[in-house]
Formats: sequence, C-alpha cells, structure tokens
Amino acid sequence: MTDADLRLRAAFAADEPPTRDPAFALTIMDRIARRRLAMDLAGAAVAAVAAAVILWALWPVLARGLDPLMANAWRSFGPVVAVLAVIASLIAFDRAPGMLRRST
Amino acid sequence: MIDAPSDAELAHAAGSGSQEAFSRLVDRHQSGVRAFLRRTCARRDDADDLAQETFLTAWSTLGRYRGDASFRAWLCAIAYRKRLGFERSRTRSARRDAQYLETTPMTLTPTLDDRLTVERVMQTLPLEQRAAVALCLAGDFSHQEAADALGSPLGTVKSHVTRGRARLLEAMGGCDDGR
Repeated sequence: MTDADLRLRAAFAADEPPTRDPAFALTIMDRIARRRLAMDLAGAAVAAVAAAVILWALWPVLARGLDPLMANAWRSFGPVVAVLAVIASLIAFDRAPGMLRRST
Repeated sequence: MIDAPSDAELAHAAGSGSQEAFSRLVDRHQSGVRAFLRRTCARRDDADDLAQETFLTAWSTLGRYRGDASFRAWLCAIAYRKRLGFERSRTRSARRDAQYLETTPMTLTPTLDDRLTVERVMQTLPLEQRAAVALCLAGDFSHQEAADALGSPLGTVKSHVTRGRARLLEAMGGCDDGR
C-alpha cells in the first residue's frame, strides 16, 4: 500500500459518521411512529366510512325489523345497551395498535 | 454467551412489527449508510436527510427484503436510488457546491488538505463511479456487494473503482500502481 493509499484511507476515515448516533436513530423512529399513526388513522377512517355506507345501505331493512322492538324495548334495555356500547368501545381502544394509544 | 441476532433475523422481526428490531438495524447500519451518502453528496445535511428517507423506505418495504443480498447492500441500494432521484432534482445546486469546493483555498493542515482534496475530486466523479468508490474504497464493501447495491455489473464496478482510485491518488500527489 502506497503512502497516497494510506492518506486516502485516512481522509475517508476522518469523514466517517459516529458508529452510534442515538439522536439520528431517535429521529428515524419518531418519523416511523408518525407514519404508522397516519396509516392507523387512515385505516380507521376508511373502516368508519365503509361501516357508515353499509349501515346506510342496510338501514331500510334494519329499520323495518327494529322499529317494533325499539318502540318499547328502549325504555327497559336502553341503559344496558349504553353500558355495552361503552364496554365495546373500551375493548376496541385497548386492542387498537400501540402507536394510536401512545400518541394520545 | 448469546449470539446477537443476524440482520436477516432482525429484518424478519421488524417486518412482523417489532420496532425494537428495526431500531437495532438502524443503530447497526446508520453509520455505513450515512457515510456512503456523505461521500456521494456535496452537503452533509442533504446526505443525512437522504439517509433518513432511506431508513423510512426500508421500513415500509421490509417485506421485499429476501435475505439473498446482505442487508447493508440492500440498504445502500435504496440509498443509491434516493441519491439518483436527488441528483435529478438538485443538479444545479450540486454544480454550485462543486464550484465552491474548487475555490476553497488549500492552505490548511495536511490531513484537512487531503480531506478537502478527496471531497473535491469525489464531486467531480460521475455519480455511479463516486458511489462505487464510496462503497469499495471508503466503505469495506466487496466488489460483488457494491454491484448488488448499485445494480451494476461486477466488471463495471471494478472499472469504476480502479478509475476513481487513480483520479483520487493523482489528485493527492501519489502514483497509481494499478492495484
């Protein structure tokens, strides 16, 4: 190896980034977390829109079946339905991707 | 003693959603990817931005990593594509930077002098040649790994490295003995 080769190698080595750079790694992981959150939110929005469209399409059929039941049932089962809805929401939130929870 | 997981194992775990695995891959390869990009970009900030983009792209395309090439070569392939895209959008800026380096006075300590010479000459090499030199001479990539990363034939990479080395040695006042 010539002297110029050694100098070339030294010049390259002097320009080397640090072997460990927590700040750089943190920036990457932060950007990944943001991207993951955006993807989760987009997925949830798509699912919500799809559910709304399905419900809208099925509503005439559902309403026909539910109307007689709801007329009297809401008075007795209303609180039970409300509690079940809250429990279902909590379970769904608990199972949501980790990024979604950490971001709140 | 417990062996550290291989890149392929970490990539598989990261692809299955493990952030910790991906974080370890970033730790392991950030230096190499940034060094490669710094040697092919005129500005360090641009190089580090491209390195971030490289890791983000790697994260979102981990499913495509098959493990047939080394992980660092796969990362550098992504980095090189980012660099090519950057080149297309920033040609004017790069030319300005090269002009600045040419006019920088070379009256500094020998080591810094060498570094500036290397930086200046690197910026005058064609991008593919610069990338081959950055991987094989500055990094410790084999010619085959560099060929995988750059998507070029092995012979082309060898030729780029030989010519690039000759240009660098000539600028540094040394002779190229053909190795």
